[in-house]
This record gives sequence, structure tokens and C-alpha cells, in this order.
Amino acid sequence: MKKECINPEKLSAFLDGELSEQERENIKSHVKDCPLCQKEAQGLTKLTELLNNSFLPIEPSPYFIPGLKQKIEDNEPMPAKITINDWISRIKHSLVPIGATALILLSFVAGNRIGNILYQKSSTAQEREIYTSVESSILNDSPESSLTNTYANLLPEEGER
Amino acid sequence: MEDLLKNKSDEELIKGVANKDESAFEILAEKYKYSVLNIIYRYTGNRTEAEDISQDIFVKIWHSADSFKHKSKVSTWIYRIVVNYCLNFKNKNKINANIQSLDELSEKGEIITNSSKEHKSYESQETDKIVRESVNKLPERYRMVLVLSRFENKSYQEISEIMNLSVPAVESLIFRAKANLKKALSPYFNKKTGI
Ligand SMILES: [Zn+2]
Repeated sequence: MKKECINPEKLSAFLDGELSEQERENIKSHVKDCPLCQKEAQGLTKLTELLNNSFLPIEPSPYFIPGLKQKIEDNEPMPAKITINDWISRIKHSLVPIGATALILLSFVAGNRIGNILYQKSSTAQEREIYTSVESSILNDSPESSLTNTYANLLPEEGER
Repeated sequence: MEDLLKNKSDEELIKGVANKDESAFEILAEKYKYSVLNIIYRYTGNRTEAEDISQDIFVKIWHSADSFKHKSKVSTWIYRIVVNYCLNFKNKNKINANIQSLDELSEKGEIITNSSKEHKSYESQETDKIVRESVNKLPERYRMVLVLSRFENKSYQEISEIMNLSVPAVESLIFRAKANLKKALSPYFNKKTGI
């Protein structure tokens, strides 16, 4: 009790298991004989108990991972970015020996087909997106936390430190 | 294949995620979902939104794993994303926490932990609610350091890395958070001596 009382900030750190061995020893030996610091320590300990009781941990729902996968799937960029030119150049590289005429013919046929496939793909992806957004707005009773909002929030904030 | 992945370190997993390996991502998400969910739950005080926000955080991890520079631990990086999300999006709808009482939560069948299955008296439920409300009124940084320290058992050193603060700054924030709460809960504190 003769020594100065412990700085409450240090006492708090002590109770959190922080500080050097030396500091911890000093605090222990002071608090042992100091009712004032004991009272402070009791208050902090009681607060810890209150916090632990009030915030019992929760478990993720069984749908956590499936729901997460769905979100990622819904958020994947559309595959329609591959242009027909990309395909032509890919085909060019692999089919050079066949000759120019065959290449042009092939490019036309392949380009046309792939174009169709891409068109179908992107329209089904769009349909799916519309469908899921309708579905989620029906299921969601708090519209403010809709997926659309979520991504509006998420997208501009790229790049972590 | 999955078993092989399960033995992989976080560093190996995150490399997999950066290469869009879905199995690696699933294992990483399984490993961290509990922590991420509980940080957000305790920060927002809202169980329902916590799960939604946690999923958003993993979506972000999926998309930004290739920007992980391997300069810190993977866990630190993940916590940093969680913290940034919570602190930066405080004004956006999701994180403005409507505190739910344990009553509301149990009605919705949302409480699953064993300990919470124990019967809580009405008075004790109200206490819990008051404590959660007081925590929720803390300034964001106070609340976050408290959550990381108190509930995630992070050391001051780890918190300083996650929040990009010095260790003394963390020590001070945590103390101020506690002092703030002690003051806010003082009428109740005195009444309830013996808890
Ligand atoms: Zn003293």
C-alpha cells in the first residue's frame, strides 16, 4: 500500500493476461495488499463475467456454406466477355497448318456456333439472376439486407491492405 | 482429395483460393466461419444479420485471395477484412444492429449453443439485453477491440496487427471500452453484486 496504486489501464491489461513477467509480478504483489486495487480488479472481473454471459457464442446455421456457395455463384461475372475474335485467334493458333480457306470457313462456322452458345449462356445467366433476386426478395423479410445491397456495398471497396 | 486439403496450412489453402480452388475455399470457410460469425454477431448484436454479413466476408475473401501478399498470417488478414468491413460499413444498412433479446432469438430457434439452452430467468435475459445494448453504444473502435480481446481471445499484439494500431493504443482502447461499460452498467452493477 505504500507504493503508488496501479494504473487502472495496466490493471486491465494484467487481467487480460498481458504485460511482461516483471510487470505482472509487481502488480500481483501490490494488489495483494491494496483494497483499492482489489476493488478495481473485482469490478473489471465482474464486467468480464457480464460480457461472457450476455454474448454466448452462436453456431453457424447448416446453410452457411451452401448459402455462401450460392452467393458466390450468383456473383460470378457473366461468361459473355470472350469475343468471337478471341476464339478466332485461338483457333488460328491451333490450326495454322490447315490453310487459309479452311480456316476462314471454320472460323465462320465456329464463330457462329459459339456466338449462339454464348448468347444462350448469357441469357440463362441473366434469367437465373432475375429469378434469384425475385426469390430472395420474396424470402427476405428485411429488404435492407438484400443480396443486391450487399454487393453494392462490397464491390467498390476492393483491395485489402 | 478433401482429406489431403484438410491437412494443409492456411498459407497453402489461401494459395488454392487465389487459384479459384473451391475445395480449398470450402475448407478455409469451414475453419473460420465460427470466428467470423461470432465477431460480427458480437459487434452488431444481431444474429440474423451476422450470418449474412459473414457470408459476404467470405465472398470477399474468395475474390481477393490473390491480393494476399503473405506478409502477415492468413488469420490476421481474414480478421482484418472482418474489421474493415465492420468499421467501414457502419452506416450501411446491415450494421446498425437492432439488438435482439434472447427471447426473440429463442423464438426463432436461432440459439443453438449448449450453454444457452440452459434456462435463463426473465431477469437474467433482460440483463443480457442491457449489456448487449451498452456494448452496442460503445464507439466502434472500442467495441471492436473489446470483441477481439474479450471474445476471440486475441492478444494485444495480434489486435494491434489486425487493426493497424500500436500495442499501447490497443491497451488504452480496451481499457476505455471497459471503463465506459462499467460506467454505463453501474446502476445495474451495484444492484447485482454477486453475479
Ligand atoms: Zn493500490
